[in-house]
Amino acid sequence: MNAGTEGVPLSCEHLSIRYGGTRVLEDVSFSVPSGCVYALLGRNGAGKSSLVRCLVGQQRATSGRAVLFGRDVWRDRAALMARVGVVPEEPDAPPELSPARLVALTGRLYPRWDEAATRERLRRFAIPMETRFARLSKGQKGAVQLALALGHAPELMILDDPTLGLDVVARDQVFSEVIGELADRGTTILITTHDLAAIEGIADRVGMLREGRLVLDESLEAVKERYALPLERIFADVTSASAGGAR
Amino acid sequence: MSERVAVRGLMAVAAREVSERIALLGLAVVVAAVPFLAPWIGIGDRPLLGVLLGVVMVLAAAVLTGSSVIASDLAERRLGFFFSRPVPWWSIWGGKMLAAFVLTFVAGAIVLGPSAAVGDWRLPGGGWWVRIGVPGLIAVIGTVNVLAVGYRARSLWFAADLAMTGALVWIVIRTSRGLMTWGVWAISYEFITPALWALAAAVTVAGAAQMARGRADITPSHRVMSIALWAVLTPVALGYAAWGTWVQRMGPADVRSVLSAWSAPKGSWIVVTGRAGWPRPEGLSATLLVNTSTQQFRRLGPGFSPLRPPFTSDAMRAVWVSDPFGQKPRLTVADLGSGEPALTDVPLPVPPGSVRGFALSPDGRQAAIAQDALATVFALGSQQASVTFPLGSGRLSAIVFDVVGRAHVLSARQDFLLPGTLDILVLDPATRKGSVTGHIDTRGNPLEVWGPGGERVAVVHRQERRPSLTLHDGTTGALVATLVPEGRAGRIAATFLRDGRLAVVESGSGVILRVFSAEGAESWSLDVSPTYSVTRATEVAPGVIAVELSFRGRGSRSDTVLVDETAGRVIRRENGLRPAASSWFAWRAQAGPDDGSLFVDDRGALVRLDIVTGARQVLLGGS
Repeated sequence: MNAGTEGVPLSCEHLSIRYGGTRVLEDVSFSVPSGCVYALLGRNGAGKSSLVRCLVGQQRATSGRAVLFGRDVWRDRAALMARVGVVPEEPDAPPELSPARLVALTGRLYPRWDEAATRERLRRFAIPMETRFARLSKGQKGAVQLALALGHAPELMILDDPTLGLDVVARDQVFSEVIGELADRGTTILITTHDLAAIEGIADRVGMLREGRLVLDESLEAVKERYALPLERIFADVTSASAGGAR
Repeated sequence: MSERVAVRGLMAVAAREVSERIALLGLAVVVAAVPFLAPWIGIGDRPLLGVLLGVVMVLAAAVLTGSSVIASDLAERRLGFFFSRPVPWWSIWGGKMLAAFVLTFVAGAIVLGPSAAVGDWRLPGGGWWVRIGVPGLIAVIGTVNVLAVGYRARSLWFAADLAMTGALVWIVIRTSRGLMTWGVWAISYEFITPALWALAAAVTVAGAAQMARGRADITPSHRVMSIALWAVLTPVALGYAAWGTWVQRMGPADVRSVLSAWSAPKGSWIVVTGRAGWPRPEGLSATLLVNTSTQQFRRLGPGFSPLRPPFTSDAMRAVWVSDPFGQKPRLTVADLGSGEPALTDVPLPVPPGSVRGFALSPDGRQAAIAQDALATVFALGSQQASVTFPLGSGRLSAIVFDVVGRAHVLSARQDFLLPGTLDILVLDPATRKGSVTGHIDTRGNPLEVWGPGGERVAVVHRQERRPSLTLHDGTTGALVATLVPEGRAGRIAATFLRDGRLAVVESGSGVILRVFSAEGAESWSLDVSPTYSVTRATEVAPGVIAVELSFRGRGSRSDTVLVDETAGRVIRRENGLRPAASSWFAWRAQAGPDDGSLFVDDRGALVRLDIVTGARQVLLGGS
């Protein structure tokens, strides 16, 4: 247990990732306070997904570490996942199972599991319960993953570009209904996304990655005040190759 | 997180994997019916088909499940579904491997069970499952998993995996072949069981490490898996190779049980073939050249060669063929004149192929080799043959040099097991010519024993049933005498004495020793034993014949009756001893009188017997 980060749901400490000679992340440090919605932004290939894999204990950092609730997530992944909900960028549920069977299977993997609430959430998303996961649309798959990630009432949600490939209606549903609701309940959220307009209304803090480095990590309000520009423009300026560090 | 959740997670993962592949069990039910329908649709024998389909089903299920339960999820990035849940890695890995094991086992049981139930085959006992069944299944499933992950990772590490596999397989095959050459049967339960368990352990450790350290990403998973796999298998393979090398370095002190031995015409060098004991493996045998005075020794090669290494008459050299049954036999000379015997490989000017007979001229200058289709005489050390001659059907052939340095050998015109004619070939290195000088009619399956200098040859016909014995001129093949007609003895053994006479032992209701002159006239006969036994006669000292009585066949307890060959009377019976030179294996290609006074006792010790006093001196082995 790390005394300094014990109360912080999520923090990165000098985290670097290299694949052979290729640098993906370089000395990334930030933390997400309790109840905060943290939007991690970056262009394609900036290292967001690698960072998320480190944050959920599925990949080991080359150096530094990811810490959830004061514990090293690589070492204590299994215990920590009881408090964390994860929605991956690509749906990874077993393709041959129906949502109904996925709910049953996932429930057996958690010590606490609210099956009724999960089924209710899937009903609200209008998911056909007996259709094989592989046959669902991309939006439906994302909704199922989201419902499964929420079934154990996590204290921390990590969402890796959850609206990628979704239509406008589905995107609004994810952001306004789900993330908004979670934020209102005080759940800590880390979300990576390209949908800057959508996060503008819900994010408390924003971090921007450029070529593996965290070049911005501030409250959204402070960023907007400092730049006096729309978030899209700020993102473009900060993450363009010619820009200098803005941290 | 409680253990209960972890175990529940393991079972949930396993159940999901089984349910995904439940069609496999349906297929097994269909396949199980095939053997019972076979008689009606005419596709083969029910018991054979049942077992064949069962084995195929087990292997197919193992390959199918082993290649998919983990590798597919890894390659398609679906393993993160489980890793983002609060279950430990071993729940995920254990659940998947348990499912693969259960599916394979149940699929096999479904196919094999009905045919076992109707008595087409018997279920193996518990020992088989521990030795082969369980480690075999784990090894197959785990190996397929390792291969599938490596293949689907599509990285350079897979090329390294294949290279390592090739290197270790080469080491294991080379070591096993070496061991088998030395009589250690490396394709037996004693070797296969530890090999299977080692492979099962290695692929299990590799799979576990892959899941524990590589987790949901196939590239690091594969890397970790490879490192773990080779970290286990490399020391095992190198350890096996080192052990194999150590095993083959057998010396006189390692001999527990002597099989045969004979001594040089003079001096203290002997050649001994013996089996090793613990800690070396059962079955290991070697032929050693040993100086009984100084304990110096040289390994001549594996045991059980029928080509006993001959000494020159001055005992200054011993010559032997290494790897006689390989495609590239070698000829080695031991110079016994120096303090430390020097070994030299000398040219063997014969075509590739196994050697069926070998002889050295008494002066040690000429050597003769019989191969499957060729007899060759050459000067020792020469790159070229002096004379060659075609030889009949491949069989172990005794060769002998006569007093003028010509080699005599028998050649069968037909399959040597059938009745027909044996040609006498004489190869003369002086004139560089070979010729057929005579013929001998045989009833089939002949065994020849040459007299000193090749003047006479005794032939036992049809050794296996109603044998007979004839004596012939060693050059023309002219029949000198029929010494034992067909139907008189159950077994016949013959050996020439130093003076040219022939000692014959007939085994029937009793054992009779008869001695004949070189002209076939019977000198005397002696009832050695009133009961049947497997026998041999050997001249163990000038004027003394030892008759071995082996009561229950080879390898069992033997007694020896010493007989005065002049007076034709028993000197004494030596209990628990047999003449060392009369090895059942080395005897077939015997080309001259045995050199004696070496015996093997019932404990397998090589003993020098004082013929006069009966005192026994243990030289080696027996402990």
